[in-house]
Amino acid sequence: MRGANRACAERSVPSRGRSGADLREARSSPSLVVAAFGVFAIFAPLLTGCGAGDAPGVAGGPVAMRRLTESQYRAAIADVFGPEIEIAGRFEPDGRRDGLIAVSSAFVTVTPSGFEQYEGMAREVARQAVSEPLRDRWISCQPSDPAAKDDGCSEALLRRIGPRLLRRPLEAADIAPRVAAAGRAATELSDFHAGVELIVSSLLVAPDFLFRIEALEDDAPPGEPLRLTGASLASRLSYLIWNAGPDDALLARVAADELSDPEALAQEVDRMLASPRFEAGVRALFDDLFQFDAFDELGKDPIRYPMYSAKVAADAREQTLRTVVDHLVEQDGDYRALFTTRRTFMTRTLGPVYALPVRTETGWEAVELPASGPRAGLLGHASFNMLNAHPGRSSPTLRGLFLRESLLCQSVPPAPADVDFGLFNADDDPKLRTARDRLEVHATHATCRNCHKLTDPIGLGLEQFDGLGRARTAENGAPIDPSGDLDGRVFEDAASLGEALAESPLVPACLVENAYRYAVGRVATLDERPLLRHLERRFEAEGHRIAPLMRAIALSPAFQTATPASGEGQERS
Amino acid sequence: MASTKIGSFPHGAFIRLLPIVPCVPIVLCVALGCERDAAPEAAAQSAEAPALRGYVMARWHDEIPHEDPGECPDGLNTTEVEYFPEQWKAYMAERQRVREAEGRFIRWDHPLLPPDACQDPLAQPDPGYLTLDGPAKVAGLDLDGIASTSRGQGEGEGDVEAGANACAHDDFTSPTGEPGIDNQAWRLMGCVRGYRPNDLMDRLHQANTMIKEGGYAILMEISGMDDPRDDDAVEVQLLSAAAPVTLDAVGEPMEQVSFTAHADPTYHSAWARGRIEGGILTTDPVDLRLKIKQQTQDNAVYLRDARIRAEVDADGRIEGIVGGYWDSENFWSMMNDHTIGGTPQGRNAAFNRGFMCAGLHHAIPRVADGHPDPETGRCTSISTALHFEARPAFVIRPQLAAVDRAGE
Repeated sequence: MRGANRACAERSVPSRGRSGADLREARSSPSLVVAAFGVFAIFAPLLTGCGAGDAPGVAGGPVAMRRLTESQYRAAIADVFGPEIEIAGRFEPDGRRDGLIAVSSAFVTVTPSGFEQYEGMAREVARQAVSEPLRDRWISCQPSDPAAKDDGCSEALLRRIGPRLLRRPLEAADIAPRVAAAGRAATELSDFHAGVELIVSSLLVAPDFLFRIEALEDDAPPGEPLRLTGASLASRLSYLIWNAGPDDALLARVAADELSDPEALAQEVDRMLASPRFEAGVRALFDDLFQFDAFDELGKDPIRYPMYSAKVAADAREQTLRTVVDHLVEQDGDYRALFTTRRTFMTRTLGPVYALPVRTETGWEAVELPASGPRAGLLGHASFNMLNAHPGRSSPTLRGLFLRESLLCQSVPPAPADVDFGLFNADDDPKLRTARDRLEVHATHATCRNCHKLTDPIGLGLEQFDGLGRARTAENGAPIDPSGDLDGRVFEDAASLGEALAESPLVPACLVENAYRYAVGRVATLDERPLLRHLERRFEAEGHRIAPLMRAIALSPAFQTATPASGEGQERS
Repeated sequence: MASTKIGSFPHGAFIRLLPIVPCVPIVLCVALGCERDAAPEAAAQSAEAPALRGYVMARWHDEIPHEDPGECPDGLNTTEVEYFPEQWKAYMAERQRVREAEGRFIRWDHPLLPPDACQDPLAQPDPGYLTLDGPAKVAGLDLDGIASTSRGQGEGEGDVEAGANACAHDDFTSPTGEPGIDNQAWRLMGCVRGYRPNDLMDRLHQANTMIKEGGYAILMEISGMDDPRDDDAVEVQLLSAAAPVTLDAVGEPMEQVSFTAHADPTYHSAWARGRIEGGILTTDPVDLRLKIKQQTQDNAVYLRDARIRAEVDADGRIEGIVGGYWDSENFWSMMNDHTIGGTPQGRNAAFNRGFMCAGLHHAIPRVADGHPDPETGRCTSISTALHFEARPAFVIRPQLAAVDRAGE
């Protein structure tokens, strides 16, 4: 299979693209990059006659210029300078588009005040990085005189950290000005490390650091897809698989121009998937997919949910991510089983929410949720149920909306502007004791019915969990009926709803679609739809396991190539 | 309304009361207790073992009566400040001077003061001590099974002797009218200002400081409880935790928290046989040592032949009384074993509550009503009653606790 794929990929990735000069010019003004592509037409799919098991030879959609997310920024600093570096500053909101921060990151920019923050953080990071003893872990050369400049040492350390931070081999223009500036600073201040500090801070405000700027090779013949440069492809790979920049080994492949070789590329992908850092990549994908960034601003009414705390929220988030990583990476399990598994992890902070004993005093322990209990699979986790709820009560609508949009990739229109929420909020009406009672108003109001029939019936399946995610059997003294149906598949309760999701072909298909969006930073183009169908089939054939899915995406021709953006060519789903 | 006048002195203002806590030496695990500890452990690790239920004490404090606390016709006990006014006046002046000049406090065992009777109770003459000798409505249990009186001894009409293993004392009546309530601790502390209703100790109890500021949670585990309304055979264990209670967002003890039991089995009681009748849990007597750490104390309470009478409610909470005999030496220890940075604070604590250590020391054997010494016949323990409220929790046996073990 690998050989066939390589052959297919080789045939489908032409060798020539748009002008590199245009790209280099655009790189200096990052906001121009994506717009510049808009003048190009969409390439037609390149159907090369590959077999049913091979990725269709379609070209990828438009490239993106993605601002590093806060977590990626922090990871980059820790990677190069060590985890001891403290980063204090305000990051501009990452936003969320088409369900993912990974997509939104291609549509955000840096405001003047945001750049001030970056600059301040860069100076502070640089100050820490060159301080004793932290500098010893990355400054390998010793200046001939610590009170004077040493261009040789400055250049050596710049060559060491520059590619890691800029995620590409350095060019002459990256080196000479920085070494010269460092020399002047060292001379003026009689301090070699003051010059080094300047080098570091200049790298941390460089557009190539703050943005993942994708560039294309300039050697493709007219009418054929454009191939990502080795550096851009390496960055795509490392952020997809590790949610971090390329490491030295990957950058060495870039420097040697080896990633254009399908076999070398496959070797790198396999190396990265086998790395312990793959866990971080999977964690980041699902943190984004599950919209867990909302935990950062989550709050609960302390009177209604006195058990809630920031630590409970943090542990709930971690519990789910830990479960995902354990199941998909450690166990190499079937993605669908995440919706039925009772294996999860627990802390003493989280134990009271689940009413479960926790032996481990600090840290995490693996637990098997009681078979007789209402919880099974991710939907029984406190994380989803506290996140998709109101501060003072549960929300079948929010939970149903999450299931539809994030797990089934279905679109639910927003509520009309003139909706009367009082109909539902009247939870003190003695006749409307349960959420099901109150949500009946949605079914009887035409303005509500069409959308809420998509969300409420499945969201009510999670009413066994309150707004914190604690299990319950009654609300306001009335028994809760958690039964319903998912597009015709009847379920009895939350665990049964999980089984229904596990059986739904839409669930793995949705993960494929989201993973591809996450990988390329945009929704799939119409031309890429055949690739998604192919990836779905491979995902199924390979047991719905995450590593083969990532591999298939990374080695697909569309991942390695690009079509200039038309601005209208993207399909919203 | 008689009152034994051991001494009578005006009382002064109190500053801050340090709650009662006892001290107990660590003893070896008795074979029965250790075995019984181990028996339910496997079940404790299963979330589907309703026959073994854990609890954490959300309240735990002395029973202070409100409806009819009894009278103190000769007034309340005095403190050293009133008993040794000149020495204390000189001491306070020196204390003020040093604080202003050097920014520090001088010690409570300063030479300007009389010898510290809280450290050496015989260092001062007995100043006298007022006990509460009349009737009162006091919560507690009939520990000896007899409605006894101190004048009894078979001499007066209607008087009844104390039980065979008790010393002569007057029983109280409970707030619900039950006779024979053994609570000599109230006779001892009932005429101490800080223990009167709505005074210092009562306010601390109402604020639940013992639990909320405590260093070790108090746990309870019930084995074999098939029906919380009626079960003729359950077993109950009280034990200390290694950590304090967990408070929720509104400052209340949280339910369903997992607690590791204290590693020292000294602080695990033996399993007491019990039964539940009509939702009322009662147990047979067992000795009880529980770690208590708060403010200036890190100690342990020692109750002998302690038993429970409590109501099991529909929410799974249990509220009631632990009654038992407070070991006299432990009682004395708890009154004195306060330290801050190694400096004894018992004198300060006694002053804040409103008594003198010398007087208390001499009064303790007079009210002691339990566990007579076989040689001297003098009782060595004081009947008492503690109010508690237990909420569902998980008791993790220390040998099963682990740090960052699984799933890492």
